[in-house]
Amino acid sequence: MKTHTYLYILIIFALMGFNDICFAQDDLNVEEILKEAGSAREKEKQPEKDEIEKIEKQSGEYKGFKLPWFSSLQNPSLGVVVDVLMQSSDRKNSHDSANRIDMREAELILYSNIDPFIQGNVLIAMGGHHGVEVEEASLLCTGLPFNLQLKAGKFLPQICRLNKVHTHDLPFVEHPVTMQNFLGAIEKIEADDFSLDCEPHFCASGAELAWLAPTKYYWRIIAGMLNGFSQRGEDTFYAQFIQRVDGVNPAYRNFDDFAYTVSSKWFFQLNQNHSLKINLSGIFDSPDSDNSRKTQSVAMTYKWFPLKSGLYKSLEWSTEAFFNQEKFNSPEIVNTHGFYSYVNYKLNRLFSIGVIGEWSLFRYDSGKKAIHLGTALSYQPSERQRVRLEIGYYDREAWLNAAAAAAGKIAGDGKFWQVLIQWSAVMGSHVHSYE
Amino acid sequence: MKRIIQVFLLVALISLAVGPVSAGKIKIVASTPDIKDMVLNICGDDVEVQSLMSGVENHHAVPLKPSFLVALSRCDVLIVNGLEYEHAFLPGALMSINNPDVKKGASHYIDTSKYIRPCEIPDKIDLSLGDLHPLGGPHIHIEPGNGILMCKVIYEEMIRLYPENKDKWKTAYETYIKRIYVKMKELQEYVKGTEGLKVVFYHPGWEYLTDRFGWKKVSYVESRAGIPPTPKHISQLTKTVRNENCKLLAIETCYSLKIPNYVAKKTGAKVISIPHHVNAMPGCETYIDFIDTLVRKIADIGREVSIEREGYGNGERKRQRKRKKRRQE
Repeated sequence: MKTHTYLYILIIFALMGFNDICFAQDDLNVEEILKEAGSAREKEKQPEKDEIEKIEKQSGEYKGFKLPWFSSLQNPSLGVVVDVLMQSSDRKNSHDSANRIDMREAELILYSNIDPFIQGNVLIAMGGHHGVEVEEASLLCTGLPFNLQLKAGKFLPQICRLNKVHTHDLPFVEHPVTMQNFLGAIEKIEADDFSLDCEPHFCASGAELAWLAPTKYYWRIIAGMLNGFSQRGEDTFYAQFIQRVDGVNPAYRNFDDFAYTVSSKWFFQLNQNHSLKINLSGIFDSPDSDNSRKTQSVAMTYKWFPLKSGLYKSLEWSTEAFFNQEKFNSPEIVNTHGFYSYVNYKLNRLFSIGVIGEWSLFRYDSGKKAIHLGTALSYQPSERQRVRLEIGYYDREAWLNAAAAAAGKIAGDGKFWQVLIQWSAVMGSHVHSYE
Repeated sequence: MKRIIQVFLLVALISLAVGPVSAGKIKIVASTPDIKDMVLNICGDDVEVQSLMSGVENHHAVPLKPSFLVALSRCDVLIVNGLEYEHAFLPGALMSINNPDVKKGASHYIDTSKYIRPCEIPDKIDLSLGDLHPLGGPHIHIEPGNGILMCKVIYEEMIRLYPENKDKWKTAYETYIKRIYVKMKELQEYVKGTEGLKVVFYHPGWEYLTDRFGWKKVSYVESRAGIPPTPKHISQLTKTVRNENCKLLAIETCYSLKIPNYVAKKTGAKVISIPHHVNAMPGCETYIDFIDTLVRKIADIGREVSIEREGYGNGERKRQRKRKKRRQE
């Protein structure tokens, strides 16, 4: 009897003890729940109200403010990318261009929404071959119906795989030689020693219309109309090559004298960790003239990015092939082609390694080929800076001889090893749109 | 030239032929799977929700996929965690799409951190301090009280946008937050005996959880948010763990265990993997399950290490055994 009494008492106490967690949901009061939901941190030490306001003000997010507190609030986002390059090579007849330390480029990037319909983007490049240059200044209208976007100004057109990628974001220190050959422009050869310096990508003024197709997968079609693709005026290598001092300058620009671009981009998510991106591009420059040029490219990028450990491991394999049909102030068409392929593998959170191989025929002479093999080790201590060591072998002897002969100059050394150390960092705001 | 004009005309014709998205369910994009689960519990069959993050990834390393642009271009509402949690992928994605209603601060952009009082607000905003969370810890979802407040924002904003569903969603909302509340009380009861448990986490932002359940955050494996630990910091962390008599390193499953294991080996502490999102680990398929798994994992291992700590007598050990026996039953 005594044991039973103890048992009853124990059961009653146990029920009382569990009462507060076994209550019926219906008895709960929503207001009380909400009050308690926010109470955990009230008990603990909290930053002073003034301190929070100070932080929120600095972050530009404090909702308590009714009016802007300084007039520069509407200024655009500002960012600067500094890219320092040290290079060393065994290239002969190249004077100081073989071994140097340069501030290769400093990019000042300004970005802002202008109104609910358009965005503005300006990129001023300092350093490099051209001193200070407005590399991009464009307006993008995102207020069009049917997922259409219109861009106008000076910009890097959305063609090929890497044309729109800025120098500091490239997978290797420099643009692939093949890409420079088909999308860039060789500069006029001034001195007896030269190394085929060129503008590495295609940047021009014009307009571009992009359409995101209403399909399950990402499919974007872009069409553009630009002032020029091939640089053919005076003071260009093109003028030297066709041996006309003033190059090709039509007295009146017809619609046929523009460059037209079309590109189509697909993205397939194969599964959670694997994806495939395909780009097809076509550029049609002065289509109906004796200086017409057609360039096509097909690119495929496979990416392995394990979502769970993407901070530590990933792999990207990208291959792009170019095909070029061009007339050099004559009815004869010169057919050239080339490709590059690279793999980048992230070893851990800090280091990644890459290899690149490429082969290409010289755009101006289908009998001259070049190869480049390289490997790079990148160290990225934070999201905002990268140090990269790259070692490469170049064989551009045939290209140099052909270019030098056309320009009436003495060729430099086209076969050489090169070691590059790149150190790039981002200051301030740096948000990338997708492509 | 004719071909080019033909291509332009074809594109124009196709674009005109495509009408607006068909009416029916409200299309919602949620930035995290936790928010997706909350929305589904509140709005039920009236909505179709797609989460940008799957739950296993680190929010600092979410790749901006083109498929995000497809989803964001067609959605009616975008619901985000807020406090810059989505900084790695959302600002770039929103810059790339047309849909003006879901851009930051627009009418159909819902920020669930509205009622949260942030923890770990930096004293100084300077990138020398790392990849800071300038508005405070954005990992708000790891604490069930915050989860309730996130649901409140979702409910209030959704009925503002779709008032015709108010009555239906009110019942679902109240039922759901009561479920989270009951789970919170249950877990508070469950963790009794582990008060004062000292824990090291990997990435800053865990004070929400430690404050709720009476634990103490000792330090983080990352010296500065987003910056991998340096040898100097690892050495300092080892000293701190030893001096504080901390016996537990609870590491989010998206981080490597290499450095935590090294520190544990030097100090005799234990290392466990903990989920940081819905879907991050098996058994975390819903928000309530995620919270349950997270808290129980820390509390269970906390009891084990507490026994070895000074100041815990036989009484505590007996209570541990009783609880273990009850769980087994």
